[in-house]
Amino acid sequence: MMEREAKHTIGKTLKIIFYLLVLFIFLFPIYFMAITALKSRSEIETQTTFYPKKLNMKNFDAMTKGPWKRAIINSLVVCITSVVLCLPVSFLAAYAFSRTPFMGDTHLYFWLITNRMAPAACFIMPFWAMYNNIGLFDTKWGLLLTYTLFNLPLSIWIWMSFMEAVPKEIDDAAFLDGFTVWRYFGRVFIPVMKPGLITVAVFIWMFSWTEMMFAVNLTAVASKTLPAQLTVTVMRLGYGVDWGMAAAGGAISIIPGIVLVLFTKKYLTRGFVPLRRL
Amino acid sequence: MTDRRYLLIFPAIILLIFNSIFPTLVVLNYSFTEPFKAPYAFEGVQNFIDVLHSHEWWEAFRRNALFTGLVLSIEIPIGLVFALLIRGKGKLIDTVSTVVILPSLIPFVSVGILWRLMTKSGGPLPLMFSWFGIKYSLMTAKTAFWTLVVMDAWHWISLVFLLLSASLVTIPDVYYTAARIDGSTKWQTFRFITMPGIKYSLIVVLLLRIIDSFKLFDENFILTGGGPGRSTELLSYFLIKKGIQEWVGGFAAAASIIYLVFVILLCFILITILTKGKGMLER
Repeated sequence: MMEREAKHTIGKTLKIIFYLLVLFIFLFPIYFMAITALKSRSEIETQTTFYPKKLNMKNFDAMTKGPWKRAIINSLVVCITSVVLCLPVSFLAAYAFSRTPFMGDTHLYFWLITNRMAPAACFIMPFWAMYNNIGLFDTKWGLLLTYTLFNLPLSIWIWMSFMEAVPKEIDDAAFLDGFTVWRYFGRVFIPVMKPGLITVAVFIWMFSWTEMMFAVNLTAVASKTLPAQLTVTVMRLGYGVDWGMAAAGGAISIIPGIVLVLFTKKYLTRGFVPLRRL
Repeated sequence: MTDRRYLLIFPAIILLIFNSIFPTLVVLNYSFTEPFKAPYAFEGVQNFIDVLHSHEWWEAFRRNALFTGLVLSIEIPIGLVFALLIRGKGKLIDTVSTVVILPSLIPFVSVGILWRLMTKSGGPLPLMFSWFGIKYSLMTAKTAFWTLVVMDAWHWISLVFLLLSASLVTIPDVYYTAARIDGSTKWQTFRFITMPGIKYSLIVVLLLRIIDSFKLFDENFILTGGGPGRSTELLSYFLIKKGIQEWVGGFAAAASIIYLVFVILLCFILITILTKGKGMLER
């Protein structure tokens, strides 16, 4: 008995050590970035320190002005409009796919999903040329439109997994009672779909918030998003990297992720469960 | 009532036609011409021949395949182990699982910057390596490539963990209790209860990771910029470099088409194998 108990405690200690190790591996880089943003320039460039010797708020001050402020606002605008646009559109499409078989639906669905899988790099050049011709280059509208290319397939995919969990008989019963489709959505279906709504919204938001390739190549000045602005700090030709600003911008870009994971973790983990159908 | 609910897909389809079909046609058009040169010239399949003869293209391709293989063989097992070990109730476990999920919500650029900070000369990683007397520098090809792999693992173990732990929760406890009563070994429990329960999530995550590591760009761009030399240049980076920086539009377009066809074929084959030919809409 004693032996077993000893084994148990050892196991428990090992587990706790493992947890702490994991915490360290995943948190240390983030911590290091956050404190780098608070260091003075000379401290960053000359020594490796694990806490700032003297607090320097200059980098974060710069975030509230000029191009950085504009970039953050642009990012927020693009994210919010993406959610507003893609959420209903993907909802309707997913509903159609999950409820009504029609000719060629599997092929259409496969094509839809391949848009999520297609390498974005292939689309940069045509978008660049198209947007230059029709005046969408360097506009938030242009970015928003390109983002739907990747947001819609993924959202539809996630919606589907939620919708398949709701029996079709409920729909039929409602329609027999004389509900129109819209009234059914408003009264019955959307309230049932609330976890799906949150999950899809989070995924659309995160994609639009993190996307960089289009943001870098399809914007110049006016509608640079935060990720695009961040690349500027790293790619300054001939000046070296502006570590302080890069770290400060990076730290700010992480904030929505932290907020979302804290408030919606329950939904995120649940959101993927019915995906078992693929 | 005739069922016209399928009409509801149209908003999505219209958006995607503008976003997907149209650009694809533009690339296709480019691939047969030399778009950024003044007189319009139809070049036939010359661009495709150039790509297939290009040493650079095949190098990038091989490098990307190697990258995908390495990344998968690191992320899937570790993610699975994490999902198996980090579960249950309790504050500590809750915190740990939240922290493990966190990286997947960080912008790619920021992950790139994070790792550049970690690996810059005088940063924590070179410092740690120097304790063991190893000289670490992103300026050597091998180190740069492995740093890219480790960075990707750091970033995406979170996704593997998220999907797998989500499906682990759905396995009823009763199964485990029954297995214990029947005296099955740990391996048997894993093989015959856990594995079937998470099979589908494993498939999804495999698909996503294979495809996504074939289109990795952002971190590649930020961390190494393809360098030193061309030693960490992956496919997407190669394309952008050719198309937007070196202005060889026709070549880049032809490469895009090949790349696109390859990824979609891969996707098709994987889905067909994984769903046993039933397609994605199983009714």
